[in-house]
Amino acid sequence: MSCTIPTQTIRIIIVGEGGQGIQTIAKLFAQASSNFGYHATYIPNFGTEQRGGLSLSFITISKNEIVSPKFTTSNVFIITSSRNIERSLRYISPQSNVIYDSSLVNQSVVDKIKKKTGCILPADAFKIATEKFSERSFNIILLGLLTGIIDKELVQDIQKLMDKKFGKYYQKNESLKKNNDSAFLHGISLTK
Amino acid sequence: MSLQNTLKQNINKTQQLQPILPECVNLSTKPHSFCPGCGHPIVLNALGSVIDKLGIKNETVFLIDIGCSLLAWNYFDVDTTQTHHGRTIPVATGFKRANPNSIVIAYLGDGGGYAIGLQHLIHATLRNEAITTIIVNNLNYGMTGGQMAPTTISDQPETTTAPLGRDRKYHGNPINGPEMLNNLGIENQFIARSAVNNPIQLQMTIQRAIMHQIDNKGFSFVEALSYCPTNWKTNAQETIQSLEKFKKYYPNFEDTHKIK
Amino acid sequence: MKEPSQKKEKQFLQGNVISAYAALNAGATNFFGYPITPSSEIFETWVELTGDPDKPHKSPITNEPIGYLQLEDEMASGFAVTGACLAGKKAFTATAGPGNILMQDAFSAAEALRIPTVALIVQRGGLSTSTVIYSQEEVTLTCFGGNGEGFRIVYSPSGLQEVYNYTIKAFNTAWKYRYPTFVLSDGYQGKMQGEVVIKEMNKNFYTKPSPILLGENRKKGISTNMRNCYDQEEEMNEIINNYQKDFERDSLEIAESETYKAKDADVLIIAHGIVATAAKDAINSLRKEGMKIGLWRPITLRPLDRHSLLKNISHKKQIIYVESALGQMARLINDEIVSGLFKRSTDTDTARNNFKKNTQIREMFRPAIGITPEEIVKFVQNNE
Repeated sequence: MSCTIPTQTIRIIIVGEGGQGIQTIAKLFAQASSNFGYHATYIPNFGTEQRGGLSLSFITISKNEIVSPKFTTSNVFIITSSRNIERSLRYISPQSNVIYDSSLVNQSVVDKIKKKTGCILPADAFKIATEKFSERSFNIILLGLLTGIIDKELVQDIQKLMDKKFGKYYQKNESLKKNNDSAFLHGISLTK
Repeated sequence: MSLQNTLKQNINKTQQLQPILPECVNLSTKPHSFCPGCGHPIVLNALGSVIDKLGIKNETVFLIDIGCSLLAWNYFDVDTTQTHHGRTIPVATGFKRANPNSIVIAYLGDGGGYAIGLQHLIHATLRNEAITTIIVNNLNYGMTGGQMAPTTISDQPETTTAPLGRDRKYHGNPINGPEMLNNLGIENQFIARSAVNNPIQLQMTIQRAIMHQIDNKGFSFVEALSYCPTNWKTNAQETIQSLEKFKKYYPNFEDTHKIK
Repeated sequence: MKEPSQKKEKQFLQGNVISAYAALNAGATNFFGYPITPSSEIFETWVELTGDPDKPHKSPITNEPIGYLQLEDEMASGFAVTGACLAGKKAFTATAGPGNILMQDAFSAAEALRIPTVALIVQRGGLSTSTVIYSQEEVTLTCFGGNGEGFRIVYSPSGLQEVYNYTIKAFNTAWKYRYPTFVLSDGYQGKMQGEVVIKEMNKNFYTKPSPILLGENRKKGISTNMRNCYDQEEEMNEIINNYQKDFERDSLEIAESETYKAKDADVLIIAHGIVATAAKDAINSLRKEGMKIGLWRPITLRPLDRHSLLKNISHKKQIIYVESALGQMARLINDEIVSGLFKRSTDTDTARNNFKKNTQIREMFRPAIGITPEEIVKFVQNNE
């Protein structure tokens, strides 16, 4: 089974825990893709908990008009938690490229994923975030990772959008922008 | 026209067996359909006199609840709509917010105001909505046939859902509306209780409440303690005596300190 | 990927945000509500659009100041909308699930008194509180939630552009025909973000609101006295019969539907709302494999476009209902099919014969869960 990513329409799922900032980057990635000129949709899965529950997001980017925003089979599946993720594994098929965070996803989950697809890769996003940046940069590293996998052409649009979305915080804390920008670029470099 | 003159005229007309009614009352819908001896028409005529006196017929909307109050739907030549049980205050809120130049009167019974719609009454008070609410308190659910109301007191002989009278241990305690709203402590609100056995004072109270709205000062509220001979099962004399007795529980009320 | 497609006027927005923009561009001025997931961003966006409540922004359509009020509960919110409509304003609310239930008291009052309330319903899942996510299980409640006959207009938009277009339309239809009107969306369409063109309303479709109380008659010295309380059965019966006549007549103009590749189809999917988008994708895939399959979609769930429905179900081998509920849409359709084929007189015999010969009806009911194109393809193919 091939691990290539399709060229017309890409369906992405990011699974993690509430509070990790996954919805923020999923939204940002979809919007930047739309600004760039692709068609894009984003749907969050939102539980009753604001923090700590399962957080799941569906992104579609496509060169064609997107008719239906929901899908069963993902082309890219990023997972950053082992809690409550059982039901989300149904979105993995042999065509799915799975990237898991090696310090947040335990071995039993990895084994389950391996039964579904051969295209599985670890990433050290959380470890890198805590060691080189800060725990809060974790999702920005993931955003870089996602951009590196899907399309590096999006980099400018994503950086522009990051400046816009986080501008408020950047004003209060200048080092935050530097930190975010380098975390983003570091994320991209992980995909080399 | 002074009140004395009105009274004189009233007496003259009574002698001709023709009651004199406020001008804004729709005569073609009279006689009204309230029970003989009911207090509602006294409250409505007091309100009608105020509408006449202030000349506000064309700006006033009269919003009525479910229960006996709904029989007032065609009482006046004033734009009127009936709403659902307890929901008159939200309709009044929506209307006033959408048309701040109108004069909005919410007219409810004690069930609509103090039971099923109590949250609306409290929150309208807290938001200081610029509407006038009149609650007619006859100490029971009149239209449904004399059941216990939140205002039914232990001294009342019977209601159909508390046939031996209100047992405070079993049925809980009755509510004192104006006192409760006053305790919310919002400044500059007009909150009062009056009774139908003193129609002139009742009329003055309603007038001050509506003036409060016209002057754009915020929320105004009048409870009118009222007669219900049908469900109290009282003759004329007993009805008047009962009201006097109930006044001990629901005395005239007005906290003038709040008004600045 | 690369070679991006060209698109300039499109914006990337959340469904709920789109709804609020639509309300503004339809000339709505007053929002009353109580926050509830997954509809809250409609309220929040309207608050943003209003700005400082002491110096509110003006409606781009009427140039009046706009406003909002958060009330103590959904009952108060629904009834405040009726109050503002009586005062002649395009007033609206947004809610979901248990909030939709609490507002039914107000909606049935609006139905009885012909008050053109607009409610944006963002369906969530299950019974009572249940999930805050998604379903199509508020169809029956929204169409028939009152203690009456359901003289209401219910739009079911399919995709974000339609959320925008039909929200604008809802305000104008409500005021043109004077029925409580609903835009029945869902958690996915409320919470998802995607592309939309926020264009100005076509002024030809604009219906200007006018006060129901303190209106023209008042100026002429005539009072309006409205009630919804009657002494006699006959009186009530007559009023309902008259409403029904009005509703039947207006339905011919209000009812809308969409067909997609249905003309030559042997198999007809019937789906509404976001599920219809998945059905279209599925139809495209199945057509590639040579299957003659199409879609009939009710845009108005109430009233249904019965003429289009009866036309499109004839000569089909198979009709497949697909919805994220246990047949709430299907019941509406079945009811129309039965009335259309067996009760009404025009062309009934031919229609009946065309329908009953070989038509098989299948049900793909998935309560409280999203339906994807792949799942529909699988269901269509696995016909035992």
